[in-house]
Parts: sequence; structure tokens; C-alpha cells
Amino acid sequence: MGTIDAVARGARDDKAIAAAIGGLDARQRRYYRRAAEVLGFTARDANHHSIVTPAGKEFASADSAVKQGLFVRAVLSNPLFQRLLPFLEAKGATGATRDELELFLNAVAELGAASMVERRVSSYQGWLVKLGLAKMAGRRCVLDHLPAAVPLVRYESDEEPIFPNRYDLKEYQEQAQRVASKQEAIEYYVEPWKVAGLPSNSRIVFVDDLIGTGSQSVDYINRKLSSLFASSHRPCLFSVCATPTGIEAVKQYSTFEVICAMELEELVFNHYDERNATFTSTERKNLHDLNERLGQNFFVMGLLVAFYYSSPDNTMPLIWRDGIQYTDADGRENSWFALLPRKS
Amino acid sequence: MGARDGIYHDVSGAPFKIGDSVKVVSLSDDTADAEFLGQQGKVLYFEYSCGCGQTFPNDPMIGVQFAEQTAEFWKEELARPSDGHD
Repeated sequence: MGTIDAVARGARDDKAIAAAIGGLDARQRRYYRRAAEVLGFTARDANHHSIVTPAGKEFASADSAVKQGLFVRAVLSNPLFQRLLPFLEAKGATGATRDELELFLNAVAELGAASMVERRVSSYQGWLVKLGLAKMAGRRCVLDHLPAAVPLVRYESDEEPIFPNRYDLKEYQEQAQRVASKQEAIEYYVEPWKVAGLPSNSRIVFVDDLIGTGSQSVDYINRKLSSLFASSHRPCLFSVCATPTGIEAVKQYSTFEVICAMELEELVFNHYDERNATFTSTERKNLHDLNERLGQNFFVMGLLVAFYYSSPDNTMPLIWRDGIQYTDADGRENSWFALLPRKS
Repeated sequence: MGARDGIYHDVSGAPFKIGDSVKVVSLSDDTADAEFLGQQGKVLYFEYSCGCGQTFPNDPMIGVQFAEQTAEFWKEELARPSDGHD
């Protein structure tokens, strides 16, 4: 918190921030400065100097009691914590070990090398406990009740639609026949709140088109679907296609069984994989470079998969990122025309 | 926090001993002082309290004294010169 106050008082760079707080090593002050930026309290101007954001100004002018609430709000608004909290919530009173937190966060976020993942998870866990959002029960981190002083938090949702509304793939025809033959035994629930009232041991199937990294599915399951059914129910995520990574993530981080019509094996469908023979190493490098220019958060799976109604964001950005401004290899500003623009 | 709160004596379970000669062999993230990459110094202190993700006792931030400057590193960023890095 001292970093935000220091910047608000005019500290602009690492040294000034360290001088204002006192006793910090150069690397520590860089971590603190970064933390203030990640939480949205400070930002860098064109000269790389720190400045306070509107949230930072509000924080700096608040008294200590209000500061705590603002800090909690910033943590709860952070995308990484918005992934972490539903995961912890789904664990209930049992909580999660640090190993489980590391596995989960490593699957849904870019945290760097393994050694840094351990440290970052240690820090996140420390923040949750220090802010009263979680408590330690032995070696397990258990989500606690939110402090009453926490103001309204905007909870962002960027998931793909999990229920496609049309499909006519041949792979479904056999299944459709089976379903038709069992029609009398199947009930359809349009109103989600009725799911909770289904008899014990009911098998509940949710349908999706693609499981890529699995992070969106896990996020959606833990935040929205898990609350719909009882512990005696047997939930299942049925997907048209899924990567092994995604299947593993959903199985590991939710109580859902996963069934997919087509598994997108890395060797065949990950076009960045060196073992994939579709492209030469030079072509792969060029694809990688271009996709990075078009959207570095979207290209890690190396997929070339599209549906007739849209392209998933795990597919290479060059396929679907339409109208994106980017700088080409010669330094020229261009706008990208995508073959299959993504529709939301 | 920092050198002020560092532990300047050996800690059982720490990855190095105070006074060990070490060489900076890699950087785990961009907060590290890149100017020291490849340089050799001596372990000066261990720091566990600044909230940067340290774990006691095996994963401290490690203060290293170079000729006239001090900088902090993680254990995997340092190697003993005798480990084949000199």
C-alpha cells in the first residue's frame, strides 16, 4: 500500500519509490511497483514514470479503514483472482493445498517458470489471508466470508458461449438416434434452477463446442454451473472437440466428467508443436511471429479449428482477428483481414 | 525489508551459506538486475519478509555483494562457480 501513497506523493521511479518507503532492495521495489500496477492503482506514462490512476487517487486520499476496503476491491477485481476465487469456492470448507493452487493457476494463467509459479502462488495466498478473504486450515487455503466493508465489485466474464444453439455435424447423428430411442426417459430443463431438483444420481450433461486450454470451461463451471446441481448429481461436459490439455484441466479442476466427439491430439492439431509435420520450422516460426503480432494472448494452442458460426479464440489469431491494427515485420502499421472473423 | 531486514548469518535449509561465492547464471523475470548477469559475487544475506513469494528456509531472496554494489536474486539465478559456471 505504501507504494501507491508514494506515487501519489510524487515518487515516479524505482529509486524515488524506495526512498519514500524505505529499506527496499532494488528488486523488491520493482515487485512492489508492479503489484500496484497489476491492481490498477498506478500506471506508467510514456516516459516509464509511475502515475496514479483514478483508483490510486481515491486510495491515496482515503483514510486507513477505507484503504483496506479499496485494496480488497482491487484484488477481487483482478482477473487472476477472479479465476482463483471460484476455484477456492468450489473447494468449500476443505480448501486447496498450495500444490493444487499452483496446478490450477499454472493451467489458467501465464505465471512464468515453475520456480516463479511457486512464489507467485505463495504471494497470492498471502494476500488473500492478509486481507481476510481466506484462512489457512493447516496447509490448506480455505475461502472465507468477504469482509462486510467490501464495496460492490464488477465481476468480468469473458467466456465463450458454452451452449451453441445450432449444429448439424454428422458425428451427432448416431447420438441423436440414440437419444430419440430413449426419448421417454429423458427430461429437458430449460430453466436452470430446476436442475437442482433433479433426483439423486442424475446425470446432467452440459454441451460445448470446444475445450481449448480448459480455462474458460473450468472458470464457467466453477463460477456458474457448479451452483446449479447437488453433490449427488453426476455432471458431465460434452464437447464436440477438445484438446488433451483442456480435458485434463476440466477433469482436474472440476467435478465434471468430460466426453468429446473428437480429441485434438497435440501432434496433429497443435501446429506450433515441432513434431507437427504440417509446416516447416521456418513456416512455424513465421506463423508464430505473425500470430504474436495479432494477439499474444490467443495463440498458445496452435489450433486451426473453426466452426461455421464462429472461430474459437484458441485458433490462431490470423484466422479470426479481423480489423486488428498491427505492426508488420518492416515496421509498417497494418490492419489484418481475417478469413473467418470471430463472432461473439 | 531489503538488506535492512536481511539475515546475515547461515540459515539451516537455505540454498547457500553466507560468504559463498556465486555467479549470476540466469534471470527468472524482468525485475532482476540484468547488469549482473555473468558476474560473480558473495552471498551477503537472506531476506524472507518482503512478501515477494519467499519460503522459509529454502527459498529466500538472496542478497549478493558484488565489488561495490548489492543486488538480490532467487536461488536458481545463482550457481557456485565450482558447479561448472566459471
